[in-house]
Amino acid sequence: MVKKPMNRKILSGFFSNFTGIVGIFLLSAILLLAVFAPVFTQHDPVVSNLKVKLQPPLADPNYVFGTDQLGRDIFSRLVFGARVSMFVGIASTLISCVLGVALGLMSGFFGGWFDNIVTYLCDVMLSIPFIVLVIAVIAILGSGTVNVIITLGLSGWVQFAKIARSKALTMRNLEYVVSAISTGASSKRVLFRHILPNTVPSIITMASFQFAQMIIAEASLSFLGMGIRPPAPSWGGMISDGRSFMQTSWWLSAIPGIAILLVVVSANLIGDWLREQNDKNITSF
Amino acid sequence: MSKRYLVRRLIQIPFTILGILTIIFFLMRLSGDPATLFASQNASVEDLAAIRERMGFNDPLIVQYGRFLLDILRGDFGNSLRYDQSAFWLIARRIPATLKLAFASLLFSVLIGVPVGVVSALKRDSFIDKLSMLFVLIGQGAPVFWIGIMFIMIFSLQLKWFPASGDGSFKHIILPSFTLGLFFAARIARFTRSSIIEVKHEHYIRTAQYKGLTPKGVFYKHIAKNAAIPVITIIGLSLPSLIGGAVMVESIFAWPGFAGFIVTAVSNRDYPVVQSGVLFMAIFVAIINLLVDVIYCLLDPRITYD
Repeated sequence: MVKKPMNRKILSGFFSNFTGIVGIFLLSAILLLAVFAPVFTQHDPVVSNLKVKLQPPLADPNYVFGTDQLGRDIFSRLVFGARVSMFVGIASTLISCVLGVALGLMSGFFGGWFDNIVTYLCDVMLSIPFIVLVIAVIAILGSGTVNVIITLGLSGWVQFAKIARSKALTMRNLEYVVSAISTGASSKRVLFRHILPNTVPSIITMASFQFAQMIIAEASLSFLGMGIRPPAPSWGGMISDGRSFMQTSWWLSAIPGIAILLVVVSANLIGDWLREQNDKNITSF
Repeated sequence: MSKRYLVRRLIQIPFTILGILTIIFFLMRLSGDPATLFASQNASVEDLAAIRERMGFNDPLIVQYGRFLLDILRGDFGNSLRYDQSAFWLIARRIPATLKLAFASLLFSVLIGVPVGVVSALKRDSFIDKLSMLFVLIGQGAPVFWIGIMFIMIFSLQLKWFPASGDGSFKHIILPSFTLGLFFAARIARFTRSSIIEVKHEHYIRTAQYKGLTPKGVFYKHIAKNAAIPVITIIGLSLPSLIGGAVMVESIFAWPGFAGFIVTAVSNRDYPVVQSGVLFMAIFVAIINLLVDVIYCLLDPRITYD
């Protein structure tokens, strides 16, 4: 590759760091709002107040983002909905990460029949689009927060497994791993002490993309009425509720969508930035 | 590409399908009582017992598994609980509509994504480049169902340009295919851009420039051709997720395809239909992946799979 001129290099370096910082800043702000939801809101997200129903945004200083068809404060519902979305997103990403990394590392390291089974399972899971897989599983398990987390966690591990497997495969033959094995280190020790630490950067990068996908999947499920059960606020559910009032009250569906967009974009920005940092190609597009 | 590879891939397809069937079968058993999946919402204890008896849920698991596979091998996917028709046909006759939507979306996303990517790569770091990167960020970040609702709100309810649901005229396909294609267009734009930027720095491009080709000549003869391969790769790799996105888009726009019908079936608690829908989806994806592999090899003789 041709070397870039120095000033452009600094500029593009700053630009890529800048977008990463924007992503981290946005996501932490939303996370803070979610964690301290009661501090930032003055209205209950669930209790209705029909006297103030369907207020447009900015019309009343008490309701900056307006109110919904039951007079509930949209801002409160957004912030409390962020709690649910973030929790589901983080928990399901963690589950699929642990599951995928464990399966992937072992299958790459040990090879043989175990590797064959894991690879086959990955191929099978990848032959159904993620959202269809999730819908098929939730149709069996039923809706609800815990079931959504289980479903997403069980459906999303494949990407992690693929990365961990390919890492373990290449590292198994590296000199220091081979010498660790030949000095009598147990498989467990080699996997945990030598291989796992080296997969961490790619895994974290993958996790931020996967988190974005989980947020969208949860919202999609809640939108379809298969996810978080009302009256608990969820972003997907709010968009769905707003459909009946599309003609008159645009903000009901529009605002929660912007919240999802912000979270997903910031997670993707962080992912892109991390990927640039480790400068590795991982198979996520 | 060797014939052997193609044959191997063809043999793989039934094994993948078998894997999916196995997962579906065991998930249904793990969920507790599978009879509840085949009963209406207000089924009594006796109804459930009758279903258990009729569908053989009392038999040993291995017998049930064998029978489940045999039934599907015979083309018997069970009857819809809602419509009292074969679940297979309920899904199968909705396939053309999904294909139509998928092709329209693909066409739209290529027509938008490629030019946006080319322009932003050639005018790198310009205002246009920044703007199209913003388009990429939003296109990849916005949930497809939300985009659909925003489109309905703006172009259907406010401006009254396009109908909000159903199929019928050419106008009906515009909003759903734009909704489904937007995410895809963003992805294509992003990869076109990075692919062109990468190719632009290759030595043979400099050679072409030094030998006096016009910028246009360099672009069409050398850059475009070489940058196309990764872009086609990404289009192929993303086709399954396009079909997945059709699930949401079809159910928002009441598009009469089979993808959206899976959602309807879930809300109807019509599990045989869900099962057939998922199977069709998998067969669909397997065929697409195979076609994509074949197309690559035709496009780029350097690729072999052995």
